[in-house]
Amino acid sequence: MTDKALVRALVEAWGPSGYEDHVRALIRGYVEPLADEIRVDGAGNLICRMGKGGKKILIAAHMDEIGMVVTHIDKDGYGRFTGIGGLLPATLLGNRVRFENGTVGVIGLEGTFDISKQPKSLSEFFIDFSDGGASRIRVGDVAALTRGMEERGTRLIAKSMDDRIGCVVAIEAMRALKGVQTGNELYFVFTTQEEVGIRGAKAAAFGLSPDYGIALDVTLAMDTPKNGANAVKLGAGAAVKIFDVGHIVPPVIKDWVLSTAEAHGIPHQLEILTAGTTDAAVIQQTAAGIPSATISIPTRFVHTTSETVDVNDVDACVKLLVALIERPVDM
Amino acid sequence: MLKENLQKLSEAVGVSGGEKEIRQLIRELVGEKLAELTTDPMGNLSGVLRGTGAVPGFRVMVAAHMDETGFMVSNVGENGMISVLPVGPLDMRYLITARVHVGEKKQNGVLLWPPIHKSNGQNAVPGVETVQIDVGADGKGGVSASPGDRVGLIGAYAEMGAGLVRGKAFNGRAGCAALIGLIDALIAAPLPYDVHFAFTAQEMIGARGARVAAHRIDPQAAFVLRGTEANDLPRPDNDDSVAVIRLGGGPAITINDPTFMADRRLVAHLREVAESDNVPYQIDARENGVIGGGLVSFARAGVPVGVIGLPVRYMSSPNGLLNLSDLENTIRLLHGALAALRPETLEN
Amino acid sequence: MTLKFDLKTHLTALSETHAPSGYEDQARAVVAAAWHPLVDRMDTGRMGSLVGYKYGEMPAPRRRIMLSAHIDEIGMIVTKIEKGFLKVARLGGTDWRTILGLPVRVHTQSGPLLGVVGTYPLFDLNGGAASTFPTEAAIFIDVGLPAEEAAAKVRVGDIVTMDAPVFPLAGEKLAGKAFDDRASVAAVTACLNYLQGRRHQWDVLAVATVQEETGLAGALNEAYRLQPDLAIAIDVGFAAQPGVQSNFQPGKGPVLSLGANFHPALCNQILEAAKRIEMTLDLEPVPANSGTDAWAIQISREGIPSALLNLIIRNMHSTVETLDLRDVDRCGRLMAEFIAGLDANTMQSIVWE
Repeated sequence: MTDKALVRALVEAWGPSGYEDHVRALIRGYVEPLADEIRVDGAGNLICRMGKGGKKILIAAHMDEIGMVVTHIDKDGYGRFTGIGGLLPATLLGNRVRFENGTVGVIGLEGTFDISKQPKSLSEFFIDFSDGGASRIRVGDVAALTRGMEERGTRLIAKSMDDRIGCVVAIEAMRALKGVQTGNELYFVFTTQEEVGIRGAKAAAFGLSPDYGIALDVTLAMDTPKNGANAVKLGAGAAVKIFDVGHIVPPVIKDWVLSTAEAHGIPHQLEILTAGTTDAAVIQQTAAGIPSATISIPTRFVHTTSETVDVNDVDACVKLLVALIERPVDM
Repeated sequence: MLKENLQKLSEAVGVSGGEKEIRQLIRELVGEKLAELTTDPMGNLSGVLRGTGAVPGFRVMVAAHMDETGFMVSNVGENGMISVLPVGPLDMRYLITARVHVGEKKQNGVLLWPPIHKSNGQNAVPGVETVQIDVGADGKGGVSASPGDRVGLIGAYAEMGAGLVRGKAFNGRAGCAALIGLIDALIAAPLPYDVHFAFTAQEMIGARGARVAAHRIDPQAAFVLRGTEANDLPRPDNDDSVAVIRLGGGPAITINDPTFMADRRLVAHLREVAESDNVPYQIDARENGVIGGGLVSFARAGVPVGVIGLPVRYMSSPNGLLNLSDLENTIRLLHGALAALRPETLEN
Repeated sequence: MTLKFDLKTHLTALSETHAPSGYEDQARAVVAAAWHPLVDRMDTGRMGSLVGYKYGEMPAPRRRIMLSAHIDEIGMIVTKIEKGFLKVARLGGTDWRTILGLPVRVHTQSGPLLGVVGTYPLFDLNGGAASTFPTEAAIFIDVGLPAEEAAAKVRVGDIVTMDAPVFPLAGEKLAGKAFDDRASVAAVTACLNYLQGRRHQWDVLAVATVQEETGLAGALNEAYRLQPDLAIAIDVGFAAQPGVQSNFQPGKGPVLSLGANFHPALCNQILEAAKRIEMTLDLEPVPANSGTDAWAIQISREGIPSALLNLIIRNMHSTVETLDLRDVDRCGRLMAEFIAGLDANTMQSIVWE
């Protein structure tokens, strides 16, 4: 069963794109006893090798979350900002952010309160980090959305499920494979800067030159009102990616994943995503090409502070990942 | 020297993909000072300034881009009028009545624009596809250029007083001038490691040269110089909601662009050096166009990148304004950053 | 017959001088210097128009023909100084859309300052709209000075002009500012040159008028003062180009306008002069207001038969107005021929049917 304490520790950690240090250190603490070798590459990716010889498989989950950078502090001490990754204007007003030094800020909307006002761009917002004293925030400081995790039955609700839940899946898989002779050379890579353009994964893939890639990320669950763009639902199991805007999963890879899921009786669903992509898209295009799969954790309310997953889906993802790589990969 | 180099670089013509004149000029200006001066398959010009070797196995790349935006001839009409395609992102608000050089022979041309008497009330900025260039030919035969030839903007360099200069293409060329100025400073006080100077090509059409240069050089760290739009302009109603980068405020240490985050250790390093060396600086986190540095940072297995912006007003026009003190301070900051940089700076 | 003076140099000097409507001194000085050896006397009207008198041979009282071309250019005037940046209003038909990012000169009490026409970068405009030109409120002149220095050096009311050297194109084509209407002034100079060593009966009154761009003031005043018998205005006309419907191109010679503003008999005589020197003269229909000095001159006092010759240019009211130098020369030659044919009886034929 999903280690909820692990989930909480990871989702509540602070790490916007480019500033993943704390998350990397946190994850390192969990994987140090599990991996044969750990190193950090030039892009800041945390690379954990398990096994030697056989097919090289790169398993990627990104450590970074969306956030913002303070661009300007006005004469009254309010901070203006640009987004790091896909900040949605509709989700910001009244939300809280946390800076690296712990300061909590509140996002406000300029102008008088107007119930009909629909903000269109980030430039209409500001952050209030006043504390009655001298400002502890400077232009260039980075912040992330902040909110504590909640549980509700089998649901877990938190910010940065995207993609800390993917990191959880990776760590759980590593735990399950500890001591197992998989016959593969596995690289569990906790990547950087996915939210700003899938940057870290590219460097990792280039450096490792694996035979195959598997990305772990969230996908949009479409089981909420008036939302039918695809058929992914919470509780229906691991979402196996068929296609998204950056990634057409090669048929042989798709078959590998689906047949493995079926053979092991792992609950799974088919995923087609027309809004967004994952590390796999970039891994697949790297160097001479690296066929890649994505195992997705269905998530509601992506890029808000209440991204919601189901622990049964998370379990299914772990099981599916383990099933794919616990024996020599042969396609 | 710096001013003269800047003028020559600014007035030379090198539209993305056609950087020959700039390469030749930089070769002349750099002379024998860099070793292994090479032009790679993208057209990047790079060379090495060898260090003392006291810190072995450590390579740093410093980069600035050679190219500028412009047009490419798509068709020459029977009437001698030239249709063009854009090369790089153009702010057509500034280019409506531009004077240009067409083709290798640099035939003088002007953009045609319907007189106000005939176009009053039309406030839509025309797309490049509707633009025609007139070289004064009576027919096709009078035009020396043909489809595929590049068309460069003309912007005469001028000193404005108060330390400001006016000119075109400062976006890349000011960075090139800074790098050339840096060479002399480093020759006078050699570093313990090699510095690779990359004058990159095709920045304006997607940082194409920079990523290739980084792949070839495979440095442990890189610093990228580029122009950044100075927007210290009067705002209506004392609006204080916009991040401002000022002329004369010093080099702008850049945090990010919409597609990448500059390495936080190098950001901190630049900031520390600026503070301890008393170099005025600004922090730039605005959404202000894509920087070549982004693609350098994910070359090969990743390269930590620091980005320094040179403030320029009206950067997309042929008459941008640059404060020479910002150029000098950029050289000082980069010099200081390199002098203080060691492999340990990049330890996690 | 060739000109003894260099037309290109003269036109370049005229174009590059800074003289917007109401502030024409510099241009007047250039014209005066050029006309001085070509005329018998010069004076300046009350509003600043320059008149050069070249006397004819007929006995007094001599008939007078006025040649009118305006020396003012479009420009701007400082209305406010805001944190070192200058807000400006238009002097004449300045097209805001054509001047962004271009060099200007600000004419201050203590001499000219270099500047650039500035506006906000796209990313500072909410939505980054690249699709419309900025309005007057978002345009300013940037002289690159700190706020206090700008406030000390520049005053409200200072004049701003475009700073654009003449730019040669292929063949005899030139691009530059203020060819409207200094190219016509150059045509008048050419005419005066051609008249050196030609005999003519009538007095020629070459008038470099002021303030045409802001309401034809110069022409109005001088026509009243000089009371010519006939007048020919010379101005620029539109060439065909994308967005402009026209039958004319630079390089095909001057164009004669026909319409209510112009006396048909005078037009016919100009056409005959053209035939005499084997010059084809294209015709331009103008139903009513020609928008030139001719419109003002025609109704002066008891009325003055007027005609209009056009020099065809592209990109009117921009810093890259484009003309063919040969048109300027031809226009000067045509006028000299026409003038040489005027005699004591000409006015009897300038009658309406």
